[in-house]
Amino acid sequence: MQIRYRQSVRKNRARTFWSMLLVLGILLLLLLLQTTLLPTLSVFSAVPNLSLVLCICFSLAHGGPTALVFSVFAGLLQEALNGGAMGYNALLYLMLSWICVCLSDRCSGRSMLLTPPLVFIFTLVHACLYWGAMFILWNEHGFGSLLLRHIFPSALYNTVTAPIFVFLVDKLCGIEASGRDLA
Amino acid sequence: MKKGNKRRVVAVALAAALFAFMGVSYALQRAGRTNPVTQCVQTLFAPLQRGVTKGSLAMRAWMDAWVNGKRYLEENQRLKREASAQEQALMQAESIKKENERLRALLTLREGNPQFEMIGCEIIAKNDGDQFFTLQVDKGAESGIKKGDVAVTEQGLVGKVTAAGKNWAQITTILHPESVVGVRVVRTETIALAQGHFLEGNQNALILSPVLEGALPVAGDVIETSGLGGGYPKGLLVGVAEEIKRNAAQNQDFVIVRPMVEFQKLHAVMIIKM
Repeated sequence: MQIRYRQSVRKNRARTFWSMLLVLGILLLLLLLQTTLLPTLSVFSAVPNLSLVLCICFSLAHGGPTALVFSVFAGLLQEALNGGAMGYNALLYLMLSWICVCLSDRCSGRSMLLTPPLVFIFTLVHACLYWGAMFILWNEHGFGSLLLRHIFPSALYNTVTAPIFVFLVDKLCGIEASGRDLA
Repeated sequence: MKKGNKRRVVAVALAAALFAFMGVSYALQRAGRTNPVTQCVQTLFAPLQRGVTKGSLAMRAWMDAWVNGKRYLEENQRLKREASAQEQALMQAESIKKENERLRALLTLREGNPQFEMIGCEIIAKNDGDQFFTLQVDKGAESGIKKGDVAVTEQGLVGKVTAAGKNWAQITTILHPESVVGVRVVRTETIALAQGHFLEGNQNALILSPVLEGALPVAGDVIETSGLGGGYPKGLLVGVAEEIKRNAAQNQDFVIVRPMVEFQKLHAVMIIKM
């Protein structure tokens, strides 16, 4: 009985490890696409932030500190690819991931339904905080125009792509099947 | 540790680490140095990004060709037709421009020589091909052209009318081996005869002979008609002395004269009525 339990625990850990590797691979692929292919597929000059969508979906589905670390890693990687100073975007990712993880505890089982509207809200929050800070730093004006022309369409675009990521995170990685990170 | 507490600890630790990282990153940026993390990530991603971009471009081109292939083909054919028509129009315009220049030059020749009665003619045939020995013009006896009339252009002497029909005339050029023109070297005033000469592998020329020793022209001397013999009016440009050679058999010097007229570009002449 005890041996069988240990085997089951080992099997679950292995599965979680491979799931995490797969999600990391997806993240790298998304960042690659985001910097190369997606700008050519922009709709009304809006380009989706796929890494953010993945982080939100992963945080809602997985929960726990792993999701926080994953989000920080994704944020840092995105900043590294964009160039310039690093850390702020990762901090925003951490904050949003934290909220998602907290929400996922309360809305367990309904996170799949909640994901698209949450993606929309969180994308708006992220973009407003990020670009707002940048505008203050650069001493720029016209944030309203950016909100209407870029942030809002991008948030819609992200929302449209969200179900794909919910499906990916849920089915491909098998995270939900292997049990939520309850640590 | 409770799951909520552990999460909180991790979050606070991450936030603290990120704040520290942010500080370092901004300091590096201020110092004008690239963040090593950025450098590393971008170095790793660059080949992948290049590959994806190239792939996506190739795919887009393929998709574009697949979707719009028929339209592109039609457009291509239409553009080819248009280009061809425009090319023809351009060539026509060029031809008209050249003809205009030619006619203007002939008009200048006529106005500059009021003592001569001149008739403008178009060359309709070059009977000896690239030898330019005989030419045929589009006007003849009907226009008053008769055998013995002289053909000229603004460049100089072309030849003499050797046959004239109702609406055509044949000109034997000065390059013809049977053509002999009485000429004069402008600088030395030496009188000589210029005869057509067939130069192998080269453009035909005239030979000036006999020329007395001591009166030999030098290369670059201008040769014009002398008017002697009555065959050609005086003062028409014939050519330029190019080379002086010695005929060992006859123990005599002769001069090769390059004609003024460019026979290969000749399209119209003026006939001076004699």
